[in-house]
Amino acid sequence: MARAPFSNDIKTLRFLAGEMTQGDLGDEVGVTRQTIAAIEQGKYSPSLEVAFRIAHVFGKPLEEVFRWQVDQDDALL
Amino acid sequence: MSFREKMLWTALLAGIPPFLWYFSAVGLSLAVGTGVESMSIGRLVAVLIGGLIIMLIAVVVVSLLHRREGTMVPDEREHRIESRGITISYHLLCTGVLITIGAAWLGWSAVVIVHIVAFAFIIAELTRVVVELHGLRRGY
Repeated sequence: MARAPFSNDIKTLRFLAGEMTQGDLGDEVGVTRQTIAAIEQGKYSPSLEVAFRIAHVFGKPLEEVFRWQVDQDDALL
Repeated sequence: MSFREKMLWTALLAGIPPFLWYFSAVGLSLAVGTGVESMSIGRLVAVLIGGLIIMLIAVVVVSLLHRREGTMVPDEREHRIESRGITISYHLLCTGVLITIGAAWLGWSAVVIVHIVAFAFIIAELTRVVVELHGLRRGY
């Protein structure tokens, strides 16, 4: 499986949110710690619902948490 | 390692030995030409029930030891991985059904056909667990 065509700032946002752990974020979002780790590493693309839930936990709009990689976007066209 | 992964490892490690022992013995008998005579539906059923009981006890013990760590209810990533395992397992099961139909068409005895069905079921189930474990290990 290719890496997700977007990057994310979840690790930084967790740090800024009082060094929140992956497990804490997973509990708030409703997924496992391993799923948060896979999303952070770009191994797994979350559903839109989980992406919005993650953004909501940090009080940020979706595009400040997940960013589409322009070069990969061009490659798809 | 997640709770789900621990449960799957437990089911795999507890489930393999009885079935491996029985079917390797049947395979060896077939290799030396005494296989069909040594096969028994009663013994197969005993191994299946015994294997399931061993697996069940192991899973219950491990789940009680780790009950605070999580749940077997899959989240969306685990559900996707589980679906992949079920899909591959389904194809193996279909292959087993086709082999069974072929065996019946060739006029093989009921005891051999029952063994083929049981073997296909066990292989399909173990494959599902292995595929799921592989997905959980690599993350997707």
